[in-house]
Amino acid sequence: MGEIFIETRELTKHFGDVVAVDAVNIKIELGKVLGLIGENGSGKSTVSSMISGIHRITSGEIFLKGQPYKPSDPGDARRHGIGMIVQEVGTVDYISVAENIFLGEENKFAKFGVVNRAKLEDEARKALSLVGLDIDVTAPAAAYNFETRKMVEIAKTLYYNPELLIVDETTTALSQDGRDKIHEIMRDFAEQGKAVLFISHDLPELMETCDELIVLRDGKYIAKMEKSEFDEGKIKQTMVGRKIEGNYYRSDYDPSCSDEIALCAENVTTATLKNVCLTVHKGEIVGVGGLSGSGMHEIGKLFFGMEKPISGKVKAYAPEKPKVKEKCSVHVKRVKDTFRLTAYRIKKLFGKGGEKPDIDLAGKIVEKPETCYEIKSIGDAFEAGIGYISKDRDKETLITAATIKDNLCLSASELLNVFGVISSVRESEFTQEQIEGLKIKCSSPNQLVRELSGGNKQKVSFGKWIGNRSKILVFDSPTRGVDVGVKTTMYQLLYELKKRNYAILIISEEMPELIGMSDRLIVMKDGEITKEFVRNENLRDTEVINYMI
Amino acid sequence: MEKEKNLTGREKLNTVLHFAKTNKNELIRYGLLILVVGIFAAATGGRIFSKFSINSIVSQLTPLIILCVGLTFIFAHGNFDISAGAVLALSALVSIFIINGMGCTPASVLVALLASIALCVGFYLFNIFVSIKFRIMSTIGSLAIMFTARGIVTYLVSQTMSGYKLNDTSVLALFREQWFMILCAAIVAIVGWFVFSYTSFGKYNKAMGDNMLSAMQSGAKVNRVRYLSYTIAGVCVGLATMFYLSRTNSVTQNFGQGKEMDIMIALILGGMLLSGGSKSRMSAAIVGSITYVILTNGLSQLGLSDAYVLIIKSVIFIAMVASTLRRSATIKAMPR
Repeated sequence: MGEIFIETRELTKHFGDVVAVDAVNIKIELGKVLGLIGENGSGKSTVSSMISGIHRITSGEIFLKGQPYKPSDPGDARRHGIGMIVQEVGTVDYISVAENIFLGEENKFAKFGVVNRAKLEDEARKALSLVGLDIDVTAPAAAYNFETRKMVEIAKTLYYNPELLIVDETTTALSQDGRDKIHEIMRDFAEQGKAVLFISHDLPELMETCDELIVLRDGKYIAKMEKSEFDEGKIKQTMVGRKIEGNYYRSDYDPSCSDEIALCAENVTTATLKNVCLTVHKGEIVGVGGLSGSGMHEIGKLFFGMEKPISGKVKAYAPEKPKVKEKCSVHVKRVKDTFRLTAYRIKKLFGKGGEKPDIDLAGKIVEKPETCYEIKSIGDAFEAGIGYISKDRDKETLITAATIKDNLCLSASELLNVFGVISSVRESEFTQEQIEGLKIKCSSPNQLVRELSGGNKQKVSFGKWIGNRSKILVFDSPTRGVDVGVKTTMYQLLYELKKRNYAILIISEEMPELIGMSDRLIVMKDGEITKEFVRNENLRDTEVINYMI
Repeated sequence: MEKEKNLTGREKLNTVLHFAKTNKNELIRYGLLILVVGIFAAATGGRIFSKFSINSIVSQLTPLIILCVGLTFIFAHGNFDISAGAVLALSALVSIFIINGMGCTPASVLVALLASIALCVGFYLFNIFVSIKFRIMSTIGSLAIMFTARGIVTYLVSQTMSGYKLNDTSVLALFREQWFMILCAAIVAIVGWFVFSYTSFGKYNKAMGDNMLSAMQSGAKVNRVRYLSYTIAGVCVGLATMFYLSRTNSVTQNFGQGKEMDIMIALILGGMLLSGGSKSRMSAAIVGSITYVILTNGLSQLGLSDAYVLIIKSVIFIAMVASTLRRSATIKAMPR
């Protein structure tokens, strides 16, 4: 057993009302790689942030080699031999690599206030050699790709010769090559008798690299495992606190669906896509996979009218819009419904709980024949009843500064208005319906979306489109940054929607998810469709990967 | 019930603090109004509620409410508008030409009103057209418009001895009637509040202030919404022109000077965020205007000179912006 470098006792962190970390006791030993795993919001990043001085401790203690340790800021932590590599990019784009490495430490190289550039650059080269990187240190950081910038950050951390290296989900955005490099650095580091704390979502990666794993759940310490005890199923189970079937995707292998086409691209060429033909039928889940740069995300944008075809057409089939006269009759019914709802609410307010009126918010939907919509803009796609969740849901799909209610209701104004007036009774009824239907965990419908966890945010995005009765769903990376528990719910939901004759297109970077969920799997490479697989139980990811590379 | 009794003092404080934090804008809005009314009622010994004073408050308040309601649609996008004062001056000048030219008849007032609305809508639409077409911030566009309109007014006024005057001041008497002013302000406020809070157009305005892309993806036709909101702003500025003109009956170089600032301060006093977004409320425009007018009236009733009032205004402006624009750090720092 190695010497204990860091020990936490009853470490606790509150963010306002939220308890992010709850009385956690962990020990970090020298000479070992310790993994920290848990669902989103389990508190793993918060624990590491407190050790590295980014967050203040609410209560509890940390001991560094037996001495009480309370870092005031990351610089203080660094002086105590703790270095951290964060999830986001930590370099400044338009200053040189060397300046990036010594950002805030320029005074070390200064004489009478003038920085000795040559010396600074020399030292920067030394730092880079620690990670085996040989690049021009005078070039701005922006000149290098994401991976190299990440390596620069690691070099910066290693330069100060820390005894504990904290790596927080750094690897998620890197290629296999970059990951391998970081894993190697971590192993080397541990072999030199220093400690590593590695945080990641990726279980196989953790199992391969770490000597020990600590599982956190809801801010609490749950279990510790030695390398010999590692077992994927068991770890997952510990993480979510309930039994998860080895396969949490749909269990059937029946790829059948309706013959009716819902969405199709005919020989579409755009700046990135080449001659793409793709159809999605009603009641079908089509998966699109590929490596980054293969054009798979552009497929999603294309169907939502965000990418303009240079040649070819994108079409969607949806019911015609009702005529003004038909609309009127729907709205008249809505007026009645709204009065009934209001009356019920007033009664409830005075404690006279009556029977809640059974109201379908969509009103009496007029059955209309199908028609073809050509998709040229987002407006067209919206008209045709296409719902789209972007890969970058926080920046594109959701308004994180607004409430859950505002977010859910914004795309459903067609459903919520009564002769053009958006009724607040209908709004709250609608919001309640979505929150209950999707089991969104929140303190109230008026909670801000940015306060929610990743999984619940994604549920809100789902609610936006399922709520406004979109029948064609284009979801780009629907389970990105979502924990295992919520993932399972989403897969069940998608399968249920398929059975209700929704047309669903899933774009994903996760192969098991695509194989597990799609009726048809489309593989893309360099903007072209290279292969199409029909659902069957013998499909393996190794086979699919062949068509991506 | 039992549980509530057992709350410790600290928990109670926390509940209060949490309430204050989540309802910060509402507290600012109504708290300031009560505070301002209270302070000046006490300081002037109730003189602020005298008949004369009320009349003066109403005559300042009406055009300000109309302006604020109209410009809230723009401010909700997070866009500033600084052309209001200059556009006011130019449309007032045009109104004088029309009324004098048509012989000061009631019909000429109607024509002047329509013309001034058309002129203001034209300016605002031009601004948003240019900023959409050439992808520049509409605040910059409004800066250009301010210089253009103010330039024209300054040039024309410099050709005369002491500015332009209405030949017959009684022609605008209707706009000085208290009942008419209150009626107009009420109608604009109610319509504005209704459109802003209960239509998809109003909701899109707020969403666009927070996140243009996701508003677009939620069905907002953003350009259409922008044109419409700038049209509304133009209509309101055009209408407000007549009220301002009815008070001065003439246009000099300084007509409408600083009105854009007044609007901003009024909105901020009402708890509106200058960054716009989902927290924007029409009540900020309405209550903020009332607070602002009572404040400035009270200050001058206390015998403060205009120069001091200006300085006090700017101090309030900075203090309010600093307190409302700051984002709470704890939530942001929370990892995912």
